[in-house]
Amino acid sequence: MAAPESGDGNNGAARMVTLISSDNTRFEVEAAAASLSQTLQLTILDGGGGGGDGIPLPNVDSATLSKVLEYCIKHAPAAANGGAPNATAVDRAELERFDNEFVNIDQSVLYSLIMAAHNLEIEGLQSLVAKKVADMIKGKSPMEIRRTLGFPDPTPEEQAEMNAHMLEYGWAYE
Amino acid sequence: MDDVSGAGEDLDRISALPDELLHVILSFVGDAQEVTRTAVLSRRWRRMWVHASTLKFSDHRLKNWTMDPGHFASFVDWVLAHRGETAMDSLTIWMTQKSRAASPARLEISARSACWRTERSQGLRCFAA
Repeated sequence: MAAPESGDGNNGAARMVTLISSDNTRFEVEAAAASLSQTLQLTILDGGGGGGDGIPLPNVDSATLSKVLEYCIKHAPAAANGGAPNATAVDRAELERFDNEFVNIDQSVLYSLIMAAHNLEIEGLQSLVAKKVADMIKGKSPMEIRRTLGFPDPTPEEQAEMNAHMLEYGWAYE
Repeated sequence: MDDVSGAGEDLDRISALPDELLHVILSFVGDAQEVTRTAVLSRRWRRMWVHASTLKFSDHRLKNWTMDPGHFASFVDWVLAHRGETAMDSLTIWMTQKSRAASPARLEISARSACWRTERSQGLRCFAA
């Protein structure tokens, strides 16, 4: 897989841009991939991010940015095709396989990823992570959801409050 | 069911997400019963479900619907009343003729901004305008 790590970017056709994470790591990546972010797209269209400049992303650390770019690089070709009307079933299946594996990660990483996708306005990535979290909620009782999401055990007071709400929201527990 | 890697060791970070992201997540949950169920999780989640912008109702998911078809209509009414004017992207109501016959007027008033369209012989689907 293409490594977003530094390089001198003079390898021909594709325009490269440099992104700088909050911990000052520089990532060089094709402009087309970075442009999956609506926020970055504007800067890039304005000619930003090229040369030695780089676009600083003070809210995204390098571990998260590297993951975000992995997603963008994988999805850039399909996005360039405008949702890929001429993508083959094989391409689509491959993207789906990638997506499923991509979000098979710890909750703390899901958290960082969806925050980054939200801040950078990468719609597809935001939806992908949101769906993953939704799947962690679906088909479970409240206590199971609490366990899955890693809530601390309820205090007796909290438990009483939960019971009272279950009565009030009786519909939801049938 | 769903295999969550590291579940149990993972501390809850999801609750710390900004409201608007929790709204997006709840919209992907979709099923009205499962969405409203999250109200009980904690104080943080209490009113979050109201902002789920996609809701799917299905009468056969309610346990008592065969005994009391009006039960389903009441549930839909109740959810929509709690949501009030909150924006909605998509509303799907799936029910049998039996539930529909039980209180068609109430339901159609509740879903006043929605348009009805028959689908197959048994069900109705309804999308917010």
